[in-house]
Amino acid sequence: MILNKPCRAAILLVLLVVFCPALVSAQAEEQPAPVTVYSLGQQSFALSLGPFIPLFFMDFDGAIVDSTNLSLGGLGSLQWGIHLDNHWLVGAEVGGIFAKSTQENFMYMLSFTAKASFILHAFPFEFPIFLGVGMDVIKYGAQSHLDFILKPGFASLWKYNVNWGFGLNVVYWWVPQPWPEEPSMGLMGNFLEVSVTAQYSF
Amino acid sequence: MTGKIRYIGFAFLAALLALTSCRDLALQPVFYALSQEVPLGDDKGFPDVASVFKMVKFNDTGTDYYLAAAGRLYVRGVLATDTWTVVAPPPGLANAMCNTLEILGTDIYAGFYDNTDGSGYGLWTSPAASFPIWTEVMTEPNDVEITLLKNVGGQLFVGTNANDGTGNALYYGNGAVFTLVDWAVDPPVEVGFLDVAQATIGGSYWILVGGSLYQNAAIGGAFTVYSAGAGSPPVSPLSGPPVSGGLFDDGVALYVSAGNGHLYRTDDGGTNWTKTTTAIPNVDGESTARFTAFAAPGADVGAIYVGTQSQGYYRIADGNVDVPTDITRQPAYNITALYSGSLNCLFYDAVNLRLFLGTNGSGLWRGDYASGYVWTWKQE
Repeated sequence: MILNKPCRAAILLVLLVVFCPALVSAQAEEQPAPVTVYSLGQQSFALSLGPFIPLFFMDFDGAIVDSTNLSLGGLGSLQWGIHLDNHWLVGAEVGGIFAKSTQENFMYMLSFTAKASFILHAFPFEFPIFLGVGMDVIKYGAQSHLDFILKPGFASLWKYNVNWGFGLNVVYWWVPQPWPEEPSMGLMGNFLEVSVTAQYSF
Repeated sequence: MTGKIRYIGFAFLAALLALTSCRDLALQPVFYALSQEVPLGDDKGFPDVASVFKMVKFNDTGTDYYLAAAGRLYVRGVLATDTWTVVAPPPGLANAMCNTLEILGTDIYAGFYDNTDGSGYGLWTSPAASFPIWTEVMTEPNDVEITLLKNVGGQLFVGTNANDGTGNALYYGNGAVFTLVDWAVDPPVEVGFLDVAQATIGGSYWILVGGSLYQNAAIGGAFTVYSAGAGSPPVSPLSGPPVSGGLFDDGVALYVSAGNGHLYRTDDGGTNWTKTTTAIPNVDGESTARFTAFAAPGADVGAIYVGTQSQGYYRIADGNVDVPTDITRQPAYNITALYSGSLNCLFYDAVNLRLFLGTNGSGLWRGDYASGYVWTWKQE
């Protein structure tokens, strides 16, 4: 399979997100430093913005439909969470995206997910690994859907201080869209979110 | 606090239900529709925001041309590389525009009007040519605006609306001499003529005047409001304002479309009728769909297509207006300008397997036949 431009850009961004903070954190490990500690009941809000990358559609037999016929889109999301301990954060997220089609119509998706994160600490960095599960409202032209959505992902956050953290999210959006009336029209949407995020903990 | 959270939860669920209640089973699912998309642009130079009222095809010295009335008159050859050019109106007519045309024999007939005040310039004709040379045909009554031109069995029906207060009138003739259609009781002069057809079976003539259907066995006799027929015949009024509707005979049956969300069919000249079992709803919040013109695109064998105001066109498989599952809204692949479009006219080119849709404000669309009921749509 030849990767298209959005795919290549997505992979490059993922590599940057994964390795750059790791290099910096390796240097940081040499210094004695305090560790951010979360305790039960602490909360956080996060606002994320960034590009939304349509990857590919796949049918329910596993065959890839090459083109989504969508352009690079945009994304914004708002997350609230409550810490269970130093590592676990549970919460909810609302995210909206837009992307333009070949026929110059906009597709919109609005996702509502429950989210659980496991946070790895390497002060002054945090690396949450998370999974969101919920519903996705899709609007395109005259058509609307409510679909299931799964959003696995990870983030890399630099803790500016006890309250504020900034970083990058990489989230995979998996949206199965079965169509019982005509099963051959059922497809699974695969998208990638790469967003900058600001997190406030209190 | 718990009550408030519950309230918010219910509101959230209600909002979700509202957001998803628009799911339209007539449309393909979003991801599938996206995967099938092809670029719409195939610019042939036709204005994308024009309203297209009528389209015809003619032959000029061995070459086929399309002619479309969309305010201005546009002409192009049928070759894929041909583009639209504006046809000059008759000389001396200030701000002349055209909203209807027809072919009778080897001549083009067109109605022109003054775009500044809507007053009519009457009926004009030219030998069928890509550069028409116009001659005025109908001058009486004065300042007449041509609202309908329809070739029915070699007779040209001409609907007029005069600015002198005499209102609407309907003529028929051979292109040179015209006679007023006779009525048992004259229809109200303020009501326009929508369509005329002749049933192949039985040969009777049918005229849609606003929301009322008139019929007569012969063209020369007095037309009366149709109130006969067994089964589910059309009962006037068929449309409230704004009126819409159309008539069509495909050689097998006569079809009537109406603004009341119903379609009617008779295959024995009006003795027995079938109609849609329930009115097709209008998805834009009004009670029923307002149907407009028909076409029988032969590539989609047996199917009849009918346009609407604001919800694209419907495909009637095998002409079965009384079988709900045979009536499907199109195009199912979510081209907003068509799926939610207002269609003034449909024109099928049987030689090149092209179906043209003349929209109200969204230009002219060309469907190149693909397979089954699928057309690849391009905006001209």
